[in-house]
Amino acid sequence: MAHFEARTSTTPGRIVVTLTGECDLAAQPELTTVLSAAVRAASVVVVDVGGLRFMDSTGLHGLVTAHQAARATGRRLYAVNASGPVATVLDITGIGNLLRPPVDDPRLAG
Amino acid sequence: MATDRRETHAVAEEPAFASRTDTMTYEVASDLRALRAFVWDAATARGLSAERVELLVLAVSELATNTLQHTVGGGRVRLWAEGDQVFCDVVDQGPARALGRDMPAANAVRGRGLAIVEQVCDEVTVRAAPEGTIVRIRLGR
Repeated sequence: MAHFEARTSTTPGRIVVTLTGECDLAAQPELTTVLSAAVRAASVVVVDVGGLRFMDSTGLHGLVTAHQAARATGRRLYAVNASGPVATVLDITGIGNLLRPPVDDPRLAG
Repeated sequence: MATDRRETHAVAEEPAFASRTDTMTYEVASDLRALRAFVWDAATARGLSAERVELLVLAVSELATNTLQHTVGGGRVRLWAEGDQVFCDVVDQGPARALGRDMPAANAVRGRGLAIVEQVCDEVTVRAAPEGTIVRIRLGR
């Protein structure tokens, strides 16, 4: 099994990026490439981190950088489905709250 | 002769009640995964709970990443237990790390690695030694 994988699924106006494996320094180039392409291509990017076993500050760096790029153009990036150690690191850094999708964003439906 | 000197050094470095020490080196980013597995196994074998092991693995991965991003020559990790405490030394050729920084704002892009380490460990100390800069972290069981 690959160390880290990022798959994208596109619907009009929205891209879901599904991450699996371990998101660390070795994964950073791929994460950066995939997320920066996603925030250029859709107004809403949902990053599903539910399949990640591990994420550290280099993964957080990729998420926050993409979040900033999205915000700069009026777009949004959210992170969903965190659990275990990934939820822990999102929680202690405040990034879980920063990237939590609002319950009332209709672009997240379906 | 050289062997004798190393053994003497090891005894002087560690308290008499220290258990066996496990060591692993790392040089490139693709070593980090195996390093985390090493820490996971070594800390679990010393009775640290899964929740605490997760935090220790995160801290060591952050410190080793710091080595790889900011220094040359890689580094090494030593893990041992004393009583109900598990210790990890992360040794590299980088400068002494500045501790005591607050967690950056959530939307800050950089600067969270060491703040995460300080947040999840019970104690973090840094010292300069002949072998390099030693960041020592401790987690209680």
